[in-house]
Amino acid sequence: MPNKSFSAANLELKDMVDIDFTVNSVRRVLRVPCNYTLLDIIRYELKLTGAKEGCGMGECGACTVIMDGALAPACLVLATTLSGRDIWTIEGIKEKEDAKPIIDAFIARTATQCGFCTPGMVVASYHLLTKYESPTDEQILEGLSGNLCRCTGYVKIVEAVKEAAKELNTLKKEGRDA
Amino acid sequence: MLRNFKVLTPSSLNETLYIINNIEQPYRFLCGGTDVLVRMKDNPGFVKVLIDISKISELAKIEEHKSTFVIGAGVRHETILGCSHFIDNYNGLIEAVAAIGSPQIRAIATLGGNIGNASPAGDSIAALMAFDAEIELRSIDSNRIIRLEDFFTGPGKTVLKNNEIITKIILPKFEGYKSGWKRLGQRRALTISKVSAALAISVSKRPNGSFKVNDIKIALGAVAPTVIRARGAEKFLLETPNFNRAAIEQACVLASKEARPITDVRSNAEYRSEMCGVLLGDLIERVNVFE
Repeated sequence: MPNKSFSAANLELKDMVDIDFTVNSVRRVLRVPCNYTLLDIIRYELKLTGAKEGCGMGECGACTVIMDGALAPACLVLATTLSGRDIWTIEGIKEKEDAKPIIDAFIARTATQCGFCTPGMVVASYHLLTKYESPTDEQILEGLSGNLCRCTGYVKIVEAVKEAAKELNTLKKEGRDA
Repeated sequence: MLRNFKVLTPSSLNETLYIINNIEQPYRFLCGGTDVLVRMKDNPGFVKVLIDISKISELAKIEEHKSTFVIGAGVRHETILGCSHFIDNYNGLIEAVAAIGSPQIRAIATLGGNIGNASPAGDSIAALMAFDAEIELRSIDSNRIIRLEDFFTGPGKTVLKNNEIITKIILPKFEGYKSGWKRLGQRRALTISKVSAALAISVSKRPNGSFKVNDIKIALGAVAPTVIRARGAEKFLLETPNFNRAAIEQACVLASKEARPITDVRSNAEYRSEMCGVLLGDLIERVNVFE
């Protein structure tokens, strides 16, 4: 031991890691192999299979979750870095009042075709609409720039986000007027 | 899935320095993970030991000093973009950082990671180099500050010793400068630059109406084994008696000649050289020096 302030556990090579974090507002205390990513944990340990593994390299956005208020590629977040973090997956987000108009608009506009990118797209759209009440086309394209879709050509997705923004603003106005 | 590696989780910079001073196996740091985990997935033998420094708060601070800003190596790109100091005075850095990866990547990837990865196409590197950035390298018994420009020795290669870690990025304060960054890539998001250029420039108007360059810094990315400064073009513009469009055109030709690019899957050498001049011209135009 080189120094009393050092913790022996921190100086040891680990195969397994203990994590204590929150997923969709539920506290989770888990012991997982240290080679697990956040995506492995939510899909295999917590059975939340909405987030998809597309590329596994952080390029496609199909595994997008919200981590500490920001978008994150779950496939590139290693288990050891997770303690103390607050994670929201599509399963948690879809229950939120202000996510419903987004999902409805995706359906109404057929902004989903094969559906593989959709959970990530909805998470990114939800995050975008918490940042901007009435996003411009440019802001929508930037906000969704980390999510690939090979079916829709994006036009319907952008339209769905705009429609959702309108609907959310109407609901907010009604809420204020009520 | 990621396989065959173990993790060390130091909780302080001191623990980290102790570990890297004594470790015998090859290792890599894990902070954002957006480069190292991708490489491990590509090549399962890439590295067997990760040192997770993502929780070390000493590395995640931004401090303002009298003549510098000091950015911890673990500061995330998204944090830089939200910082009014940088928005107001380091436009070139903001432009580069805003173009890195995607919102998802920028939320977890760190500035120190982009530097440590030492890609000749590293987008934040060109912008930082155009602001004369320095970096602090720490080991258990040493602490050295070097110019960012002197840190890189080749693609993925640096002067960092096995027992050292990048702790800080030091940005001098600039007044009266205009700056910008621009790249050419296959598409706008999630792309690796074919060519990039960063510029910081200070210009003044003489009483006779002509313009004079007080200071200029030009960095070029993806056109040499490391990001480079275009010293020839800088020197030419500093010494030019009359800073005008003709002088800019000549400087762009000089910048193209300073590039030593390769031909690879993203682009070819001839195009890259040519584009160095074009990007520099665009940047000078865009920052409105003759205002």
